[in-house]
Amino acid sequence: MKQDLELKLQAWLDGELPSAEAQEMRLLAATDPEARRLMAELQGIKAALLQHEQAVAMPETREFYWSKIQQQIQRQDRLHPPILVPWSRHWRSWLAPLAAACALAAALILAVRPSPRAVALNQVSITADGYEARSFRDQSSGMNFVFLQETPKAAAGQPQPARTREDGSSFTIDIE
Amino acid sequence: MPDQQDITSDIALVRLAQKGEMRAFEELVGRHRDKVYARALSMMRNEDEALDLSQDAWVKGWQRLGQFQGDSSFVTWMTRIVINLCLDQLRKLKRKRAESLEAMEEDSGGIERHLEVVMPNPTAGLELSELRRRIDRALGLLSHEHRTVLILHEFEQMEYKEIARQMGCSVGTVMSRLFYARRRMASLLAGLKREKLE
Repeated sequence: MKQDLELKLQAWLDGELPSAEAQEMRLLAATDPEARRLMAELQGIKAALLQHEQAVAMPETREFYWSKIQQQIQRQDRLHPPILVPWSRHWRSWLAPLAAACALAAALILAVRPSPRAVALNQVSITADGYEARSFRDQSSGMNFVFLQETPKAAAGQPQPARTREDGSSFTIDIE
Repeated sequence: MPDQQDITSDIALVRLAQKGEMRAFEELVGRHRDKVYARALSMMRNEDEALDLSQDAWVKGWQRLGQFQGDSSFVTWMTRIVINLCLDQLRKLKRKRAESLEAMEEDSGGIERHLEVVMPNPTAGLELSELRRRIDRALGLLSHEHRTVLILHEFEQMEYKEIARQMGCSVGTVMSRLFYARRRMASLLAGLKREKLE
């Protein structure tokens, strides 16, 4: 029998053959005595191996085995301490938007209050790592709109001081 | 009344261990150490290596507990870890020694291709203990590639595709290895006299 047919017969036995080819193998097994004998042998081995799977008892006591594992874990932990999520990350998760909101509120107050400079700001935006707060003042209706959204985080680097930009009608604060 | 610890599910213990509870992990080791060790032993055929590798598997399991999502049972997840460690170890051993004649045969079809079909059931009439002894001995005579593919398919119930991924080979190679492993097992179990190829 050709090798590819033998492998197909086996795949049929293992339930790994698409239905069209399975039909072909069913026909082969029904008509070809050699294929039938091979199928019987493969099935016999499969069944024998399933029966063979037996429980093997470990030759060491539970306590001794565990003590070795525990020691190894402790040694590994000393060499490579587990990476814990730093508290600063928890703080940052809500501190950054809070800081942005406070800064935005301050900027808005400054923007709407009459100042000696008498600059009419239409737009104030604040960006921090992962957040952007943007306000827009509709001068005709006298209403302020505030948008807060997440933005892609910048690559990790050295912290930089806040930067401000002002171009007549808009005011931007970048906090990195 | 059963001990509270005995009725705690694996998944509950895993959740505790994921929070750093070493006692919960110890209980998981106690429950499944035999199964993990047995798989290592079936692949390595050496008690000391099986003990070391199963121990390494538990250490790795502890370190990677955060990755366990519960897609499979905990013991299946642990068994996959020890299988991977055994495969790595076997690859290292293979690199150290010269390519065996058996492995070379694999590409050309092997001697099993020319074996006659032995009998419909080569294990018929054997007592269970005798059958297990013979199967164990026969497994030990297979090359590690043939043995591994049999173990992963028959004992771990893996599909061809999954075995190919684990062993880093093609599905065709898995089919070929499985076929020749089964044929060789059949001939060994039937007690046919064969020349040993060392």
